[in-house]
Amino acid sequence: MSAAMTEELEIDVKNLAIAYMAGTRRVNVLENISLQLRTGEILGLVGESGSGKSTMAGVLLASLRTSSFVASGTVQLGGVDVFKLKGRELREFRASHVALVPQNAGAALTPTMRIGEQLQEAFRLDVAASASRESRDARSIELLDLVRLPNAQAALQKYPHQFSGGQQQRIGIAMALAARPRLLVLDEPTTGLDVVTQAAILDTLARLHQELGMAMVMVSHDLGVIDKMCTHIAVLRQGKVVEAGETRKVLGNPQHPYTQGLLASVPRVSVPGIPPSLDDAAIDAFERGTPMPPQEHALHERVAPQDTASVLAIRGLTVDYNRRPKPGSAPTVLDVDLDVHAGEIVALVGESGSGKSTIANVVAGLQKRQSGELTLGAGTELAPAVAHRTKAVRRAVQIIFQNADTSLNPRRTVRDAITRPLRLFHVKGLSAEDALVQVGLPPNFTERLPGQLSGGQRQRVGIARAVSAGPELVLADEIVSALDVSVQSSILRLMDRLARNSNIGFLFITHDLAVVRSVADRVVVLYLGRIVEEGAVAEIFGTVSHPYTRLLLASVIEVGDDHSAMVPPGQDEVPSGPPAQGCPFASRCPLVMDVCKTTTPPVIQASSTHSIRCHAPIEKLRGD
Amino acid sequence: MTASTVVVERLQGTRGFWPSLRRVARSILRSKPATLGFALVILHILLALLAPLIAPGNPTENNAAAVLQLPGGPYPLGTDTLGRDILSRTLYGGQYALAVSFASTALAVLLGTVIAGLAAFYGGWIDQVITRLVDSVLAVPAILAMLVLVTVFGSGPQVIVLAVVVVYTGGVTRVVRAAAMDVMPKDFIIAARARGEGVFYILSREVFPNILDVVLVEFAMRASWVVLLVSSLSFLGFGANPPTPDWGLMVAENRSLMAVVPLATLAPIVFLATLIVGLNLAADGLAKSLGVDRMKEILG
Repeated sequence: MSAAMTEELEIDVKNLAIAYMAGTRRVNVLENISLQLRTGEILGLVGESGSGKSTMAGVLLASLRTSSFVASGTVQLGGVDVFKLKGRELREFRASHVALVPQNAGAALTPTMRIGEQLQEAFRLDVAASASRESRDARSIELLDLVRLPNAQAALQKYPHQFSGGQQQRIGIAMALAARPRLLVLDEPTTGLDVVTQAAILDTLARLHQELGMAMVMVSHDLGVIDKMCTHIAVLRQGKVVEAGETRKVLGNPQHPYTQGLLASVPRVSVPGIPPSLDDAAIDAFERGTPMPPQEHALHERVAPQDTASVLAIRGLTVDYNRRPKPGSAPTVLDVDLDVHAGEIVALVGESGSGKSTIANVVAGLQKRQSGELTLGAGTELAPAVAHRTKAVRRAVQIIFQNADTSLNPRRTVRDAITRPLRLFHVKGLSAEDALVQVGLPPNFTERLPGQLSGGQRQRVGIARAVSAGPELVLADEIVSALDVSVQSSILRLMDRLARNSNIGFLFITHDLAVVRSVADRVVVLYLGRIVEEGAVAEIFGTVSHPYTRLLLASVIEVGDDHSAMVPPGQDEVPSGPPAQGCPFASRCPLVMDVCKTTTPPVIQASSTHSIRCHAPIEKLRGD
Repeated sequence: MTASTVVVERLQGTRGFWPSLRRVARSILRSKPATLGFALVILHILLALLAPLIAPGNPTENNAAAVLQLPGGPYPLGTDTLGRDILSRTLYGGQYALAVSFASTALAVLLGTVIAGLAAFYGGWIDQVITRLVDSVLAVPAILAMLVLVTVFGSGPQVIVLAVVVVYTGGVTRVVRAAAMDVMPKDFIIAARARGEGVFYILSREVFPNILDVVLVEFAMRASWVVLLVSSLSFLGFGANPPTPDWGLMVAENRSLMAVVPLATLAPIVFLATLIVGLNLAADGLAKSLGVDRMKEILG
């Protein structure tokens, strides 16, 4: 290979293995990795948790965890063998060549430093830009304008907490760009953000890449994001690259069963039904060269229950976190009506801060309400506080949490976790073992501690704890968002089975529209604590929808989309609180009229089950 | 079976109370200072417990015929101004020091843990009141507070225990409350609240197992301070009453005769010093093997 050829390669990783020592045993985190990337290309690193994608991102910044070491191979970035660099040389290389956009910019920004100072720190080595106060400010404003942060001049004097999550991520990107890096590494840059914000940030990144033309590496678990952004892709599994190449080709026609399985396990907004889960054993068999057991490919379509009894009826629920009403502000949750029937999965959808979890906490009796009536089953009033509820009521309402890591006590066994509700609510004839079998876990898991289980297994224990009490209503708060896609669908199928067989009504809280499409029977769309649309799942994803629902759906990024749609400017910023009057969505609505700002929108009945709250005539709400 | 399942199988051996105790013990034995610390503490406890068997004489019996003897004969470390055997007094002195210090530390830690648990559980104004009270107690210098208490209630072991509890409960509360606050917002606590569990169940079964390490380290660390404090009080004449064999008291009684019978002062000092060093090393070792960051605790 000629010298000119290697010059052109921004990343050249050859036969890389990264390992750490566990006692006397060597554990390989990455094995036999070879990657090349030219200037101007974008590489996507995809894989599940534990696949080594974050370690790989670290390697590209010439950084390793202290206990890890390069077991073999070389890493050349811009023609420099980075693991041969020491001390000052390494620092200068990092300061001038590579930059990182971290996953959670809110935590990565120093909370006590003004934005201007933090930015100026990043380009300190740039002599021209740091020459005077004026030039420093000018360069900072230039950077913030580049990432489309509104009102850059004023932003320099502000602190990180004064910005929203999306804006913080924009500032994080500006900081990474400050030293004009030749390689930009983005570690899950949009994972914690709402769909609309995510779409807007990705648009900004795509534009920046076009303008500045540096090489980029994007780590993500989201195949849709990778498909939109990256020219090349490398799929990692257990520290090895199982498939790599041009994104279009790899995702369009995947060759490796792992890539195929990963693609098949992602739920789609446009397709109803729960996708099959990824079969790890089959892929292990393929890797060893033994014949693969047959895999299921079919989607499992849920059938909504018909005319079942009501398990939860919420009427006129209002929650205000302010003790006394403040002028100019409005309650966090206002006038919410909601029904859940036996065996039904009702999805409560909205962006962060829309009051989804507040509603769940009110139902659970953990949050006070200002007004509203909650009825359980056939006419049992739910007392506001859990302390005033009878045992039968507490048994009937159970919760499954988002984060399986913290929902189980790390010092107590699985048996303790499951048998406590059984004993407390005097459930007879069900052992901890039975409860585990019910959720698809081996019965001998009872003596394990949560630390000895995988994320998916922990979530199953959390579900077992909730359903073993024999509840009528289960509040499922983002129960699959923390899980890998391959595990996600098996948990969704479990939820579907429990709803059907045990006749449990689920109030399923989520921000993920694809998951909603796959598992929900009815959907309630919440915006700033107000219901904007409500209907059967097919109606919500159908042709007539509220402008907010339309915006959410348009912002979903999936593999195979044409990715040309852009989020119009200004639509990605959620106001900090609901307005005191009028429609809550008025500030972002493309169809906004004068009446929207003053009058609460009327209910439009699109069908007997489908209602939309909007001032616009129904013809205008019809999409294509 | 996937790789992760294999790892889980291997981990199975390390669950439960006894295996984890063994693991902590192994990690303590690996560190020389921690081993030394525990050895010193255990040695002191044994010496104090076995004092009646190994002491050559009666610690409180005066002998006018053998005053201020140098080491030798029936008195391995000599005698003091009243002709009492110094070795016996030193050995018995450990009983007083250990019993009073450990009892008072245990009480202070227990009380502090309960108060801290309640503050963390209820939060709001209850937490505010408890925290402010703790702050105001902590603002008073320990020795001053103890002197006041001893002056009011008189001396004697019960008063010393009371004084230590008053002075140290605040510090324990503050540290344990921070640890408990860390656990309170976790989902498993919310799950317990949603089940309608009572405060006793949540604190004892859900919170306490997760802060046990902090409580243990807190005990070991406070104990070393309390030993010194109790001895200081005796030295100042507010602790043990003569003729109780006590290290602080012995130093106070014999320091003017240091040139005549140096061992009468040195022996209790050496015993006291080794116990305190031992407790400190043990607390450090315990903190390291339990993964509790002691610096963080001290700094609050």
